[in-house]
Amino acid sequence: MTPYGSFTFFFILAVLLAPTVILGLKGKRFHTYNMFVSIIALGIIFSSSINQAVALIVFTIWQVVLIKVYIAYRKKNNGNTIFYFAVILSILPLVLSKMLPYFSVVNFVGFLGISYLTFKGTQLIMETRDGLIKKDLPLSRLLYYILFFPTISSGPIDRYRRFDKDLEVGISGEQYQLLLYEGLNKIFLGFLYKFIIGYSINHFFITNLRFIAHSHFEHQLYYMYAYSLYLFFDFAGYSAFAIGVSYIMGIKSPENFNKPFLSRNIKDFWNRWHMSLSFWFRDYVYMRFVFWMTKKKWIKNRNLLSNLGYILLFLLMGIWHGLEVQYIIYGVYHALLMVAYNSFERFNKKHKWWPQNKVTHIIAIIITFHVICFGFYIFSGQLFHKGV
Amino acid sequence: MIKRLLVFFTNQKLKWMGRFVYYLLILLLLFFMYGFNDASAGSYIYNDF
Repeated sequence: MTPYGSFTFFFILAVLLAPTVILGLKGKRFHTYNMFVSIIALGIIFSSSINQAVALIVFTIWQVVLIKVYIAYRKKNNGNTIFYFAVILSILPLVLSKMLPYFSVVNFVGFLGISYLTFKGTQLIMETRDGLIKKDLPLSRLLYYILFFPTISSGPIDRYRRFDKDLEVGISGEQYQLLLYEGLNKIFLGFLYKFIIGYSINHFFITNLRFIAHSHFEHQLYYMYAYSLYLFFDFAGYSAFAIGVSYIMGIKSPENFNKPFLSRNIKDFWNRWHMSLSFWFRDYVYMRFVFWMTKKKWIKNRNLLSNLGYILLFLLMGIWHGLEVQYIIYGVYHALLMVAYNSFERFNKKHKWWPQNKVTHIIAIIITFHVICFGFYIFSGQLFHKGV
Repeated sequence: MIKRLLVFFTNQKLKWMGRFVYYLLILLLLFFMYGFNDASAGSYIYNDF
C-alpha cells in the first residue's frame, strides 16, 4: 500500500494513532507504543510485495550491523580507509538498486524508500567519524530512527541527534495539544496540495494538453509550467502528510519546502526546495569536498573550489535520481546555474550592477521562477522522449 | 482604522472560524471530487527515487 496514497491508508492511520493521541493529551509517554505502530504500518505498506519486504529487512540488518561495527571501531581508531570503506558499504545497496534494472528484470535489492534510508545510514557513519556520535546507540532507537514509517518512502531526511532529542524530551498534555493541532493542520494542507490541487493540475490540465494547446511549442510551454506546479504540489503534499503524522507521533520531522517559487536566485531556491535532501548533500558532499580539498591544499582558489563543490553536488544529485539522461542533464543544468550565479554574485559585489530594492527583488523572483520551471521541464523527461 | 482592522483579524474567534471554514472547504472539495470512493490521485512522483 502506498503511504498517503489512498483514504484507506488514512483511516488505518487514524485507528492506529488513536491511542497515541489519547496518551499524548494525557501527557503520558507514547514512544514505545509508536514503535509498535511503526512495525504495523511498515507491515501494511510492504504487504503487497514480499520481495520488497525481504529487501527492507536485509537492508536494515546490513545498515545496523555496519553502523554498530563502525561505532565500535571509531571508539578505538579513526582510520581513513575504514571510514571510506564503511561509507561505500553503506551506499552499496542503493547503488545496486539503481544499477540492477539495467542488467536484470527483477530488482531484488530495491524497495520503497531505499534512498532515504540510505541517507540516514550514511549520515550516522559520517557523524560517528566526526565524533558527533560517541556512545553506542540503543538498538531499538536506531531501528526506530531508520524505519520511522511516516517518512519512509520519500523523507524528509531527519538527523539522528535531532530525532533522539525528540525521543528524550517529555511532552506535557498542553504541548502535545499544540503538536497535534500543527500535525492535523499539515495533514489538511497535504490533502489540499496532493488530492485537490495536484490531482486537478494533472487530471484536468496535463492529460488534456493536446486538446488545449494549438501548437507543439505551446504544448511544451504549458507542460513545463503545469508539470513544475504539479511536481511541487505532489511532493509538498506528501511532505505535509509525512511531517503532520510525525508531529502526531511526537517527532518534529524537518520541513522540506519553504515557498520555493518565491526564491530570489538559484542558491535561495536550493534553501527552499526539498530542503532536507539539499542540506544533506550540502553537509555530506559539498562541505566535505571543500574541507578535504582545503586540507590537502590541492586547489587554493576558493572560488574555483566552491564551484567544483557545486558541480560535484549537483551531478551526484542528478545521478541519484536515476541514470536516465534527463536526470543527468538536470544535474548539469543546476550545476551550471549555481556556478553562473556564484560568478555573478562576486561580480555584483564588486560592481554593484544589480541593486537591492523591491523592484529588483520582484524581477529576481520572476526570472528565477522561469529558470526553475525549465529545470523541471528537463527533469520531466518530456524534452528527450519522442512522440510525447 | 488600521489598528481596528488589526484587532479584528487577530480576534481568536475569527481565527477559529477561519480555520473551521478552511478545513470544511477542503473536506467538501474532497467529497465532491472523490465522493465515497477511495482516492485515485495517483502515486507520488518522488516515490520512484
